[in-house]
Amino acid sequence: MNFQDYQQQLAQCFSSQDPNIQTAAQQANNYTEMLKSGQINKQEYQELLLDMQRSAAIAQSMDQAGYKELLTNVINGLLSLSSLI
Amino acid sequence: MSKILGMLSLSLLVGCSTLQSYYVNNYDSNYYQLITEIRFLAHKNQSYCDDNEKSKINSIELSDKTNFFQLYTESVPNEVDVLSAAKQLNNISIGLSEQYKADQQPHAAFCRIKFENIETSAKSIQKILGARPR
Repeated sequence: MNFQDYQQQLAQCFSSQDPNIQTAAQQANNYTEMLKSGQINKQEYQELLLDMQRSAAIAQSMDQAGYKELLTNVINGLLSLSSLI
Repeated sequence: MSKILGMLSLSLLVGCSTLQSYYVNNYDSNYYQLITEIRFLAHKNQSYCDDNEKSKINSIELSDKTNFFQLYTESVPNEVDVLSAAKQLNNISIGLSEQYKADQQPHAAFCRIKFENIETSAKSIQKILGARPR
């Protein structure tokens, strides 16, 4: 597999229904083009791909934290409501 | 009606195995300020990526802040998700400052994308910390 093969696979991701996957695929493709054109070097390219994984992990953690906080608010709301009735 | 709501509340509490596991910390202004500073600096620093010397200083300053944010989070109870995010944010930040420290003169495009990545992730953490109950 060479860069072109992987870029073809990335192109398939562009038609995903999930906008996050589309964005990530576009980002990976942009980085690959930047490497090819010499705008970034190999080490920087690898670091940016690692950042994609790190950013996805952050988004996942924050998504989870958001739901936990929503659940807690609902439970607190129900507790308050039930004590008023 | 009150009985139904009472039972519903109770069943929700029991269903959550322990209330502690779903405890949410209140808004902490120091915490919020710190993540806002990280986001602000990451945004501002993008403009200086053509200046290698200034970007070196900026990237080291920012990685100090993300490291501080991680250390601040480590001992705060019930912050598993934020701690996980703080570690990743620090890794993103270190990935830039280490290149400057090694005097590798990173490309300006790389510098800008790294600061953008820090800004985007800091924004998503800020959203959670800012929405906490006062």
